[in-house]
Amino acid sequence: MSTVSMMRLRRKRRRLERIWLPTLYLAPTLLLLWAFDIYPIFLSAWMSLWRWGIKAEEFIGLDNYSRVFDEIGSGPGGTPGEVGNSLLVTAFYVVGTVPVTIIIAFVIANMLNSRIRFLAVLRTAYFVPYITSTVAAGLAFVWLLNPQIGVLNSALESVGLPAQQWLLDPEPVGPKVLSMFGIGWSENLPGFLEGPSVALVCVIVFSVWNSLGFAVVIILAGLVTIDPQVKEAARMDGVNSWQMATRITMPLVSPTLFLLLIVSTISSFQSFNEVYVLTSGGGYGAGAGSPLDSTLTLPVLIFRHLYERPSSVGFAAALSMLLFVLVLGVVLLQFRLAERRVHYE
Amino acid sequence: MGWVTIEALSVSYGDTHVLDDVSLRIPRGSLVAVLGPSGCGKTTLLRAVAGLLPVASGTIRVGGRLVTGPGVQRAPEKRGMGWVPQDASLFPHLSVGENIGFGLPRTKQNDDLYCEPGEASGRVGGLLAGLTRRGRANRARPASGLAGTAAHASPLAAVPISPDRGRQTSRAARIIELATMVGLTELVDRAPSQLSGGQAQRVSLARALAPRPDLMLLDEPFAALDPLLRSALRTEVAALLRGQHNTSLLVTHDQEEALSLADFVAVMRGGKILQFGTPADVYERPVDPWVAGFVGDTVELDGQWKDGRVECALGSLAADWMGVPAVHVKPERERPLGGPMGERGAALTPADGTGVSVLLRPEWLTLGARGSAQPTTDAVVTAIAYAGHDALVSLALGDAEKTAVRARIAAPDLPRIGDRVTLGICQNALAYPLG
Repeated sequence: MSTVSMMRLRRKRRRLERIWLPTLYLAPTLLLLWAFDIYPIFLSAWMSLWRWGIKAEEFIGLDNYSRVFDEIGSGPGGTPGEVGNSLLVTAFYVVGTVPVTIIIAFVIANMLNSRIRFLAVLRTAYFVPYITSTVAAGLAFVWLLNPQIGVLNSALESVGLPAQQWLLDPEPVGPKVLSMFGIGWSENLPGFLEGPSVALVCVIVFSVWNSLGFAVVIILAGLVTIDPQVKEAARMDGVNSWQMATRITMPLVSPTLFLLLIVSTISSFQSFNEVYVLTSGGGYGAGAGSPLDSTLTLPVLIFRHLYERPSSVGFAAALSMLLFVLVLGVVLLQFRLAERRVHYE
Repeated sequence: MGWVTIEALSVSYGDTHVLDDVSLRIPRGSLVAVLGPSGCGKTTLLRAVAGLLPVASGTIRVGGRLVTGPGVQRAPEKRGMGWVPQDASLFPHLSVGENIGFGLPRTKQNDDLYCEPGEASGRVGGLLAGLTRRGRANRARPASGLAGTAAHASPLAAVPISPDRGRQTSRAARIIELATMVGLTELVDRAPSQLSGGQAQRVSLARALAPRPDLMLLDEPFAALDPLLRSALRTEVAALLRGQHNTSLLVTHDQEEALSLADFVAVMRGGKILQFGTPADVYERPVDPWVAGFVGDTVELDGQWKDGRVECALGSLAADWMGVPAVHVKPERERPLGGPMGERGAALTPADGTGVSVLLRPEWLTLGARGSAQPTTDAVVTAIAYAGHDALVSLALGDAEKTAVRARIAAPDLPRIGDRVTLGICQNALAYPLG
């Protein structure tokens, strides 16, 4: 064999190793990713252009999207429409869960990271809600918060406080809380300032409790990577506990916090189980997102159109695309804002 | 009085006594090295002084201020001590300059190193400047030209030196001063990850020195460096600490480091201080054979005491009796440094004929009779370990057992293996009780 053909053969071989082998290794993952992530995205983008019941009925272009935008702002009497309300509820939900969860988890993780007894037990205790089925834990909450027979109301009444409707209460918390201090609410203020409904606040509390363990474990994992000698050096340089947290711990754990922020923002936008279990069915005879749609987050609205109103699958697909763009936008924004605040070694 | 006084300090981890009744006095402005093998408790001693671990009993005073004592355990951050850990432990998220300035007091108005004279430091704009990319870019740019115009615009600039501004400039100036001192002026903007080991250790030193600590604590600061850099850096660091008139406590397991750097050396073993004294004291008059062996090479022979001399394989040598355990923890009470200890030794010398352990340093043995203060003896060279500047020469003596001794001989005068040489001894031998 001539030298030239030998070289050609070798080059062919190298090509095989460089290009085809990695592809082969990646193939299973790529296949799954395609089947369950990429293909569905394109499929729902495609479906959103159709009137779609059981199957594709009629190609209607961007009509579904114009309906989405119509329903953002065209409720009765100038109030937001179904989609607009849902966006507001989603915003309340995300803002109410993500930062609160991360802040509480940061404090708890720091406490767990200092040398304390029963660390393993406590860590498990915080993690248990996360691995418990959301449905089971949610049903437990439904019973705790039951207005008639719930433990919480009996506790309130036993100390002389008024019972609450909790998950059945569509009233916004803003005016409610102010009236407890004898302050009235002006009707001229924009509606969103009144805040989420009592029911939504209950869902938010449940979600925070439910996802706290995950956040604690993630932050704890970040905290243990901090060199204790660095912290010692900082102490010897005169920092107190607060300065230690803000000047040393926080910056050093910032990549972990950022990761957590992104992951929990995405999962918060997508959370469906929490809302569905707490505020629909459960013997109250109401649909998903009740009372009065005050806990109707975007995923629940998509669900409603998909399963409760079977003719509007195409519309549900359009809403899914809206959620997709929304999450993408928020995450990109977070990347942009955090870029300079996050320290990577 | 010592500047730092440690008295009867005990530390235990569970049932293990790591420090057992340790007392130490460090004169103001001196560098004391605590020397000992790993696990002897020297790092524990340092951490106890730093306040990083609880003590079982004992007191620690710095400059007359009680920092550890019965019912007193001042927090580490309030002790005003400088800390140089073994691996530098710089703050990875801060620049070199900010690392150095970490312990310096910050003003509320603006804590940035690069605060330019024209910048309105106290106002919202100043605060926001750090949060925005443009603000940072502006700040990083030199202020030339900008300062003049901004001075008119900013109400703060009308008062040339407000107290805060004064403190501010002093903070930045102090950072520069220290960066210059450790020779890293051009690296203040670097990230710690971009530094070499030696540079990182210098930054660590500068960081510890910046708040002008009452006491510097150095935990094997050179152990992680390569040998060449190590010796260069430690000379430099010692000079720097002396130049600053700092009182320093250095922990090391390297006898060469302790002897070459320190004003006083405390030799530790098993949680106790065996000897405290000047490097020469510890090296030439070690309190027992273990200390002798730990701080340097030894030639050990069996011998018999006879009227101020020892009879051994090297002949009859003038010797000092070292049988009285002398734990000197207070250098002030000692006799003049380097002076003879004969008086006390003489009073308690053993009876003639008592078996003793005779100890010499290899460099006390000389080739040829010249300069020998002792009777000479013949020997045959059996091996030479060449070390460049000198060599460790193994010799077999002429006695029946052909006793082996080693001599450190300067390189130019080296014999060859098999040479028959005359051995002189230039110093009094040390005699210790047997066992």
